[in-house]
Amino acid sequence: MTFSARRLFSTLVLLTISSALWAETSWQEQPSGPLILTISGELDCCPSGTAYFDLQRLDALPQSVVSTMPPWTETTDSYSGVRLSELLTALGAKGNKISATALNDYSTEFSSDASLEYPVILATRRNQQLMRVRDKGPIWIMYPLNDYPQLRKEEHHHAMVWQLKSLQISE
Amino acid sequence: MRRLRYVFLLLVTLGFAIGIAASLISSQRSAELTSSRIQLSAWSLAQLEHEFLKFHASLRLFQADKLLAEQLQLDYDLLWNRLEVFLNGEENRAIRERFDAAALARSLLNQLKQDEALLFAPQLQPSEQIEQLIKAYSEYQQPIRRLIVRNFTGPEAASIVDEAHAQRFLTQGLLLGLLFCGGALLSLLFFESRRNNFLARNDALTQLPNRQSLLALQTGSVSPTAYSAVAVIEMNNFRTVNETISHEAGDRLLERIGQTLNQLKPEGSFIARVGGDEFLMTFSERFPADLVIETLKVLTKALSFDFQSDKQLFQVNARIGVVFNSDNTHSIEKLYYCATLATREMRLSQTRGLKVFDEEINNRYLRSQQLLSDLRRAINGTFPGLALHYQPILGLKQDVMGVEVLLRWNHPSMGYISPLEVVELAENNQLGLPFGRWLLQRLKQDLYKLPDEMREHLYFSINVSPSQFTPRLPNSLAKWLADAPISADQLLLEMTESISVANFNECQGILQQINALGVDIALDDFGTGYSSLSYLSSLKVQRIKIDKSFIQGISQDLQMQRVVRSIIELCHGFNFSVICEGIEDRADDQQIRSLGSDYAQGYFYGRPMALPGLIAWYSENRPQLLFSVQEVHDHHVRH
Repeated sequence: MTFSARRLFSTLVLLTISSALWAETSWQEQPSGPLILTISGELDCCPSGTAYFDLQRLDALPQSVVSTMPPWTETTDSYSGVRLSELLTALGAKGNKISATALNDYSTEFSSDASLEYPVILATRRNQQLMRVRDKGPIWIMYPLNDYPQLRKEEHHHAMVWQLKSLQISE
Repeated sequence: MRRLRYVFLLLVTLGFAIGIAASLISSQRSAELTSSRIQLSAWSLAQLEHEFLKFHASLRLFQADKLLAEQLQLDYDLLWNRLEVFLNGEENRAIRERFDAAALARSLLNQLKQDEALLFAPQLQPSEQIEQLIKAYSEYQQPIRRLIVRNFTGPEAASIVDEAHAQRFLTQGLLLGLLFCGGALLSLLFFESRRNNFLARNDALTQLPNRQSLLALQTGSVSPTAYSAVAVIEMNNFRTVNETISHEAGDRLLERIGQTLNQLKPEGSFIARVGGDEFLMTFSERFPADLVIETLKVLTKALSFDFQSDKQLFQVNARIGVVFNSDNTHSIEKLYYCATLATREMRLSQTRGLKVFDEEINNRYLRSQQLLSDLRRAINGTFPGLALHYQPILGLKQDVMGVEVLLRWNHPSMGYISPLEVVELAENNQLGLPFGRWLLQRLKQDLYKLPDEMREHLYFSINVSPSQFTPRLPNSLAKWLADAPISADQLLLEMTESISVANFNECQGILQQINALGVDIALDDFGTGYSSLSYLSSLKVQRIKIDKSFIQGISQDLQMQRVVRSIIELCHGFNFSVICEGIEDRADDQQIRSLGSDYAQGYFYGRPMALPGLIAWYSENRPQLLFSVQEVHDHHVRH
């Protein structure tokens, strides 16, 4: 009885609210593919406080494209992935402080302000190709430096973490 | 206002200092930023070593079967990426270019790429090949370590740090220099402005305050003090030096006067140069009147000296007018005014020395101002009393009779005004020319009123003042004669010696033109001036009028008789005819006739008379006077 009531409630939620919210139940669980991103914090979607993403889950979210030349490459390339602000909205994340950690345990903290104002993405592809670890994959936080030259500052360069492993959102 | 300017200057200086301090801080900060940039590249170098060591350790752990292949491959990828970043990243450019770091990183990356096939083989197991790899990568450990050490502590690194320091010192030095320059500029501005302020209130030559300072005293912008007396010192001959030698000589003279005044300046006095040759001196209220007079007497002496310049000697002296502030009620402005009146009177009478102002001086001044104003109107015909009188001049050797045209002003409230005063007033106030025009105009009117016989027989002698004696005089005389009822030989001009002495050459030209019209010229007041014989011989005049001071009492004075006889003989020698004036009795008349004078004038024959009086006198005395002529000439002789 309780179970079917919950299913009914979920169905109603599914009908009335967005499809992203439908996914929230699954984001808390381990994905079927290799885990590439863990997001923790106070998340509306995930009462446990942690959301897990494989590539498939990230790809299921709306994708944005940023064409730019970051200071560590010598060419302008087209990067695509989910927009950070959209992901945070979908997660129902509370807080504007983001702590990003890379595969080599490099870690940095930055404010979400710039990501709300500009199309900052979690790039998973460069020129439509998935990025390997040696190419700063699987996820590279990408700022649109070409379109918004005002972002070419050390402050934002620090936030452009490559080989991203996890994000921690806090107030 | 001045204080406000200084406050503003202070604010500007403060702003300047703050700006420079801010620049210093900003320069310091930029140096720090630069060094953090160096730290950033150092970080990247450390990361490179870290990732390399981690990969190297993973290899050994994998070989010892203590690590999964996936972890080894992840570390492989991380090192690959680190090398790519090191070789391409903008922030690593500086470090990459030093110590062959780029070559080392590239060689390591090539090594990695070579080993990719081996390390990413499916079912990777510990093997001899992995052992080989451990050895191969060990070769890189030392060079990477050395790179880091050299980057942080080597001589090149030290030189970079030293250079950065030197740069900082240079910047600081530059800014301090800027501060010094700015300060110097401001102090320059300050001193310049102080100097300008001094010059605005002081005379550069005499170092005395100028008229501006006097005005400041008058308007009370300087704290008011009480004065016992105020003196105005006017220098005689300063203008002459300025005009006849040079302005430089004038300046030297002024400097000397300034020095004298500064030396003799009594305590508590204020001295200012208020005009070209005019100085003002105040005496403090503690100064008693007799001491003021004593001081000014000393000053008069000190200011009388011979000034030599350009082989010319000038006697410089001063006129000092002083006024006492007896009841201590008068303003400096009023006192200055009174003192100038005293000097003015000395200037007009051409005297020098010291004169104390009194009410009489003021009254005389007010009277002259009133007269001047009335004279202006009289010349324009809007004020009564100005008229012409005529005094007979007899021909002693020929049947010829003339009259001297004289001025009479019967002022409605002040009575008869002396012709000398009227002429002087007109001359000193630029009324000479209008006055001359008035005289000729009035004479013409009078001439028409004369009986024909009388007008045809008489000649008319008119006086010309210095200001009327201009190059335009012949022309205006010609115009006047054109519609006058007398002919040119019935007109005689009388001029004083001073006119022709002032500018002899120009004067000669004018005299010639007047003679060319047919008008004769007489030299008036002869014997009182400075005429030299050479001057007399070349002057284009026809008659000489011996001054009456030679004639008065001549019948009793043998010495004077000899003098006059000599003059007359001399004049005849030069072909001038002679008029003696001031004949008062029969004895005088007999005397000058015996001395050989050609013409005579005086109360003995007739006083100056108004026109009706002249007509009456003429009809009454004409036959009798004719009779007295001793030698009769057929015609009027022109010389």
